[in-house]
Amino acid sequence: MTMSGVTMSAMTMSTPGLTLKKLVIGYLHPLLEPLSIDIHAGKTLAVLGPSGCGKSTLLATIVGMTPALSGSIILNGRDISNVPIHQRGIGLVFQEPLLFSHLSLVDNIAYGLRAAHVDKEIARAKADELLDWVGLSSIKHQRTWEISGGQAGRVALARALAPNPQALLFDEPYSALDNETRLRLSQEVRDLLRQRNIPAIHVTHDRIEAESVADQLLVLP
Amino acid sequence: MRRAWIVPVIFFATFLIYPLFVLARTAWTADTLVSLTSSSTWTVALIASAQSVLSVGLSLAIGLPIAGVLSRYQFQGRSFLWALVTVPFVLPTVVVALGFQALLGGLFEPGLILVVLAHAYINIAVVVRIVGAQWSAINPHQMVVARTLGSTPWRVFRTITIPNLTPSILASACVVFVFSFTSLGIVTILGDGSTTRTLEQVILRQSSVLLDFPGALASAILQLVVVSSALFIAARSRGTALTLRTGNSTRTHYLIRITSKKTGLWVFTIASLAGVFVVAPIASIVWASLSGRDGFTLGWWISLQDSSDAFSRLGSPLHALGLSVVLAIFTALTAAFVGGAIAIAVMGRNPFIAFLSLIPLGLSAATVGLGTLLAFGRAPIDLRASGVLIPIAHALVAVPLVVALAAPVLRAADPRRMFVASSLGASPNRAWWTAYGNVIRMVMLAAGGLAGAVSLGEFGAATFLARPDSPTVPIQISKLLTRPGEQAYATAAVLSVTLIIATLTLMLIVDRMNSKVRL
Repeated sequence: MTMSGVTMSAMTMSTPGLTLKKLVIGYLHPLLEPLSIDIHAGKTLAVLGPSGCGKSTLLATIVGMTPALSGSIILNGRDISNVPIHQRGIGLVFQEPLLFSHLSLVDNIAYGLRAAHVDKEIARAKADELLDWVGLSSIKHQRTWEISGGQAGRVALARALAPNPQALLFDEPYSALDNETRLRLSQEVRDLLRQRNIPAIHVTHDRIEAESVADQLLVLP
Repeated sequence: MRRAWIVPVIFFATFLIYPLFVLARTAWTADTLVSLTSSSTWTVALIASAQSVLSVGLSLAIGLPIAGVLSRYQFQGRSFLWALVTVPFVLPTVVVALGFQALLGGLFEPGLILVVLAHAYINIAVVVRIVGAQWSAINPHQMVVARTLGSTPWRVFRTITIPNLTPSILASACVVFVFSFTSLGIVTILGDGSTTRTLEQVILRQSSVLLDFPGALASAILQLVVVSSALFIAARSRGTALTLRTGNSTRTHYLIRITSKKTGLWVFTIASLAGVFVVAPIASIVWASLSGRDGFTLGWWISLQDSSDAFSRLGSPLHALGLSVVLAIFTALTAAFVGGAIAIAVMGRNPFIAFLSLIPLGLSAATVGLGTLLAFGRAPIDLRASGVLIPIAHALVAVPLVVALAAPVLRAADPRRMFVASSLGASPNRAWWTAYGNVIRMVMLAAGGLAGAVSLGEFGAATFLARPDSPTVPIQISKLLTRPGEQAYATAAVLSVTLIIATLTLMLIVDRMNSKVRL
């Protein structure tokens, strides 16, 4: 299916999770033509395109960092176009892990739960579980700067998942990882998103990575 | 080049360690211990501590919003504002004191309020530089991640920004505390003699008026302990700040574009207030030098040559200017020579020299001056009449600043250039000079300029070492301010404006030198 310079493929027909309706992104001036996309629960949209084409601006707009010029963003039936970032329920994983270096690994993961006023001990217990899920329980006492880039990336993923987001956005999350870790982690994340019915957008400039994670593909010019 | 460390070792041994030894030998008696435990000494220390805590509080209250604006946002005039807030730090303390007297003297009596305001004025740059470096290294995407995890902007500030900044805030607070605790020029001119006393003032009075050297030594020891403790905490905090910084990101600087009107208004307001706060005292001095009973006049500037007749036993202002310039030149030459040698030693990863060069920071200028006076200002070695003591003392005071300025540049110099030069057939010395010559030359010039600026405004050590009939400009300004009459005040203002121009010119040259260094 071709949409005014935007190419999409393989759309499924389950319940919509995240919907972009005639969304126009950009700073003062539109970067792309209006986007209309449904990303169904548990599915991943891979956004592929060269540097500067607007991939990151698209994520910034959906997450609420940058206001949309027009159009709307619907998440599970709710229009979140004007909702503040912290109330959107969208998790974000950047290329850099961006761990909070003044916090322990467990407290990094528990951060979102604490923001939701979950009891400290309960939050830490859940963070422990997630740390175990990403296979890092053996290094839980290390500081953020003592772990490898791949390990930090996995902690960042666990942190984003902890508060049970309704959607997840990935901005080239695996680009700092080696091929083996990248493939394994992307497969695990894909399974998890399906299992939890979380719609996701995965931005990358790597076609192989895009094809390996995508249920839908959006190619930006 | 491997023996460059000999120069600073000889310099510090002769002009720092030996004078301190003489000071200790001369003044250390049973009375020193009595003074050290006396309630009067500790009362002054407590008064100085309280004043310093207030100065720290106000410096942070003013400096933190400025640091936030300068280190977070990209806006027009940002570089200019960055340079502007550095100006108060390089101005002579007596000039700052006069600025606040001229600006707010009609509103406030001399005392704690004026002293704390002037200390905050000087130390904005300390807060902005130390905290700003940490703030600008926080990746803005971290804030976004925290927001997506459900945090309000206030919670992000409380749980991410503040914990990241805390070590650098503590470090800057300690440095401001040290500068306020050892203040002399400002408390002498703006203080009330009771709520604003510092140990530095006590050392000066005990050694030059009361001739109570054991008491002066006791005060110096107590001050050294307090200052060293504060600097130790500052160093530890800066270490923690660096760990957090490098743990956060590989980049050291992130600037955010201003995208909302609300943010733009906030940035504009803070930047404007900062500009007014920095410029107002300087403008007040300039106005004081250009105004008389009948309004605008150039009379005070024109009559500078003749005004010496009006001030008995103070000497000619022009003579003081000439003396200060000559002393600044000799200080610059001394500091450039010693600073260059230290630079080479620091590049050679000689931690002992780096440590040695920081010792004067822990000592007060008055202690350095007193030690130098006792060691070289009387028989059998009386160099006081030769005029070399002030440049040496000023060079000692300036060396820690020179090292702070030059060390990062030197450590960043790429040693591989030396190997490249060697592989191309250069002799060891030639290869070394090819790799480091440009940096060393620039560091020596910058060190000379910085030390010259320090010398022009230095007050503490010069108070001991300058002859009463031949004062330096800062001393003459402080004395003029104790004289009654419009002419004395206006002459002090004219001299201050001259010092401001000379100091800022030198700092501009230093800045240009620094920016020219290509590694």
